[in-house]
Amino acid sequence: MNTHNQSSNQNGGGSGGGGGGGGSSTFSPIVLTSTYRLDVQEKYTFSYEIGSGTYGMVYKADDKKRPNNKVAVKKFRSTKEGEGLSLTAYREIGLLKELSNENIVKLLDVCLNPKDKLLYLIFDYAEFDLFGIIKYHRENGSHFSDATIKSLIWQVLNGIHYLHSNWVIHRDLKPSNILVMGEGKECGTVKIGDFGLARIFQSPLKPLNENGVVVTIWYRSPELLLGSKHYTRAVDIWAIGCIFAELITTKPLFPGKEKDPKIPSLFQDDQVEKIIRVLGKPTLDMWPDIKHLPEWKRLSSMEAFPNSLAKCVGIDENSQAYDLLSKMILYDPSKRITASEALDHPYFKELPLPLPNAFSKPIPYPPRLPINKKKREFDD
Amino acid sequence: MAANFWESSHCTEWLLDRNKIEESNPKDKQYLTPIELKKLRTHYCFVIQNLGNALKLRQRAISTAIVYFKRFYLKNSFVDCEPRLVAVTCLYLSSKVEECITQAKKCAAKMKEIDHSFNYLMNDILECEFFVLEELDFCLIIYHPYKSLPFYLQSSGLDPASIEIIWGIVNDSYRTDVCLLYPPFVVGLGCILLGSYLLKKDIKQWLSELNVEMKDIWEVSKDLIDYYEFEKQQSLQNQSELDLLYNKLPIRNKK
Repeated sequence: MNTHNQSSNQNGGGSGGGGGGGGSSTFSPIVLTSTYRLDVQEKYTFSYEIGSGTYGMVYKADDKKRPNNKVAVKKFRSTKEGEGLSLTAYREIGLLKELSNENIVKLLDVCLNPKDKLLYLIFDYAEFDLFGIIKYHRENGSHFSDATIKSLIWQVLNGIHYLHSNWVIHRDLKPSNILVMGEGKECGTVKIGDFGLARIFQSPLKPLNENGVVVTIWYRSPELLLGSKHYTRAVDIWAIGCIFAELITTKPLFPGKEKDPKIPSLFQDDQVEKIIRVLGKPTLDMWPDIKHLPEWKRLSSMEAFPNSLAKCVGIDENSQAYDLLSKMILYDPSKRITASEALDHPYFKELPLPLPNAFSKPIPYPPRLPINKKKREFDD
Repeated sequence: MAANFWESSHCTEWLLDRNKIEESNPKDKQYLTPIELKKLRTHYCFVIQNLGNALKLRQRAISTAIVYFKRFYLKNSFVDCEPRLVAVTCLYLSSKVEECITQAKKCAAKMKEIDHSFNYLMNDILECEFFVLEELDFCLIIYHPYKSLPFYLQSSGLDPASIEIIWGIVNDSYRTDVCLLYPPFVVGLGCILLGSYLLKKDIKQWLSELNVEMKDIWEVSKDLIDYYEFEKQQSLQNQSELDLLYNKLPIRNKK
């Protein structure tokens, strides 16, 4: 008999009997399957919360079978009554189960709690993410070395090239989703994370644009902002270009203010203005298809500005870094450089060369702090 | 064919041999003869197809659900895992994975319309969802022959109008176990071979020029011929006979 004794808990939403006054209750599964299941707490010792999102929490934990291995445990619960596990969870599981690349986060394990309808995804623990280390430099008034910038961007492109050549589009590239490994054998290695918005784009049953708004606004490409129904993997390249510039300056390249979601129009005036102030206004010459986009008229009525990218980012217009960056953030997605072409760009062939370990020694960045700055009892 | 089929879990973990498939439904063999069990297994493929049609799901999502169902019962049995509940749950899960999502509540209601004796509710499906996911070992991405069919038809010289016949044969193939035995392109070619017989066209020369194992293609074609023969003999849609078989099983948690 596959019966589990489960303590009552405030997060439980089980369809079984009520928990009662602190006592144990017996869960009788609706089907009796062949798998012997270990509860997540039987396999991992939880430390503290390191992140959160619409899906739930992320915890740092130790693998009980491999005591020196830290893992990140991402907890999902049903967020809406009657919908079961979220599409986000399915994308992460479905895709990460199939993907294998040194620069893509690895799904180590999946744990279930059918009674309480909880799901846990277990990943290698990454001590850093680009958001955190960019913030460190910004607050200290310091900068990344050229070698670190080049290594980080090369590795991001390498991971994305792998995704794109396997017909996967990420759709949420931003600094907080670019993880970097801390001390250990993979020190300084980029791991692209958070596949909750990722899609297979080869003959999707549902058009990509029906998934609603994708890509966090500062990293959202012009074709998305103008309401394109047929966007491509080029949206990921634009986002990486924004990240590239941000690594150089330690400030976001296009920090637009997002409109109140209750306002019906999807057109983000401020974000678009932030872009055209740096890149100049797109013309029909440089982007012929722009006239077919739903929000083209709004853009065409906006004020014109000269291209000031080199000045904004503070790099030489004649440098290979500028050449690569400008090709990653071309307005026309069909002309934007691809991940494959970018990896072959002369920028990566001149000194300093990109390295598997993007960090210099010693690593200056502080480790992740627990949310709320204190250890908490795992409250499942 | 998608570039990454060869590295997928479908290819590396879930292409099985016939002996493995013979081990399906281990406990049910105590109560049903091999023919009876085969009949019931085939029936549930129809159940998934009919429910998928009623929910207006795309064929690819329906085919994915059938593959999930077959994989689920490789190690599990109807007596322990009520098959109609699992069938509905596989379809619900597939609708999420294939991103043509439907509601668990709607799945239960539609299934009730089709089968008045179906008494599982939304919450049963939502609980079962976890078990199905686990039994699939979280391998959710399934490859199908559909995408490569137009290319093969064009290069084979078969009349473009024949795609409907071939497509129908591919859909029928999900009532056999070829989706567990062979890569999708082999299944597709096997269906094209069978279709060419029916259409009285000779494509052997074209097939011999492809860099594929002819033996496997012949076997897919033969499995389908065997299936059509089985279907003809066994009156698979006879509900009272199916109920008789179902009731031979002491199913746990039957509602």
